[in-house]
Amino acid sequence: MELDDIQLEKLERFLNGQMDAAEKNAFQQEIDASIALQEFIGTYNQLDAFEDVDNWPFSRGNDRMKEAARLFLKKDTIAFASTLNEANFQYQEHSKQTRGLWQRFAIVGSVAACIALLLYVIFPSTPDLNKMYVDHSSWEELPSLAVKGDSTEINKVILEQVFQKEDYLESAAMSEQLLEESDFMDPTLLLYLGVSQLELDQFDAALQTFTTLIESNTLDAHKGFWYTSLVYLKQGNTEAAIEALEMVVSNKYNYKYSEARKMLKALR
Amino acid sequence: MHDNNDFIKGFLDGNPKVLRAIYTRSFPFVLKYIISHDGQKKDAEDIFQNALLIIYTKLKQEKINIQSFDNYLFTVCKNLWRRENAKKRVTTNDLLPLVSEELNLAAFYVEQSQWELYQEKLKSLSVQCQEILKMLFEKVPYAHIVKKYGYASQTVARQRVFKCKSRLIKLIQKDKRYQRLKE
Repeated sequence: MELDDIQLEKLERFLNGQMDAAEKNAFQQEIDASIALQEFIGTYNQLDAFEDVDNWPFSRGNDRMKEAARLFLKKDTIAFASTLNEANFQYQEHSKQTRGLWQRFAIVGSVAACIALLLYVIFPSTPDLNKMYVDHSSWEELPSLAVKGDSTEINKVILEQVFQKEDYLESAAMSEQLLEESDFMDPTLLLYLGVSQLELDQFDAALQTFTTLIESNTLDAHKGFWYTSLVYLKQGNTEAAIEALEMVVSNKYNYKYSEARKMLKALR
Repeated sequence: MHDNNDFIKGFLDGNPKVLRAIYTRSFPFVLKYIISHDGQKKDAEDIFQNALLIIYTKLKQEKINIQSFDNYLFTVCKNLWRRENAKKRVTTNDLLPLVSEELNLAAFYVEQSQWELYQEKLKSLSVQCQEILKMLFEKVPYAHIVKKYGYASQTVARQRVFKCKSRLIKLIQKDKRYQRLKE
């Protein structure tokens, strides 16, 4: 049954705390006698709870809930839960192995970086590395940030335009801001941030960004190895570039696998 | 793309490739969210598992249109984690009885369906009503709402808020799903 205007007007004053004690008591009796009023107040409170991050409207047990409970006891649901357990186990094990590999690479990389730094002080970087960097630093291959028909992504579209105008200071700041605001570790944003930092010769920051990408467990994580190698190439750090390129060729499905193989041949 | 029929079918069939893709794409984000909201890695694993189980059951029972599986999964995980946190606060006061895992999941199944109905109806309100309710839920002071919309007073603003909420409740209650989901 729908509520009439008088009931709604009373409800408004009741819920906004605008009734005096006597009026409130009288209306409470009206509520107790009316299922429609009780349902309105129930839904009203439920909406408030849905919107309060510290709250949640718990179900107190109805027929629908009992019906739903039976769904979770069905054979196929139990079998699916077991499949999920297995998938979770496999994923967590694989993640541990990948992390271990990357940690080992980081240690080797650090040692290599120290040696390379020493060599860099003694011998200036070779022109070949610079040429290699210039030949491979083509940013047109970066994935687009513009998603067709998604008007909410306007800031990403602006970021891409700023990046294309080679205003790397602004694109670095914008990518950082968007990453901070996002609940998701967006690999494309990390790429734009890292490359902007690389263009600004902020090598440590760029390496950190690409490490975050590698550790992100996203589908684009492997691209981090390639861009790490570009950082070392621009720095003129042969040994560290070789280490990074070796990570690229460690899996033939990695981004720029073929290019990395050719470059390794040339560098060794 | 993850939102096509083959992907959903692979998910429902428990196809290892599809499940691996789901874990690789979505678990790191859920883990990050839960750790940044007072949780641990183990919580993230449980929430992720339960969310996938809820989605499996919903897909088996209802004709739901999932535009982006990743986004939908993330929303279910966020709501489940909010519920878990709220439950901790409630059970501290012994207001909520301990229930089996099936009943716990079943309760969330119903609550998530209510939340989806509410979100759907919220979007069909007028733009101004949506804006006003959004400000209310974000705890924007009434004085600001008065100023923004040029209302004569806070009383008028409260009346407007109530009208918007009443409209929303009317829309929810008119939907046939409401009768099945209500308390």
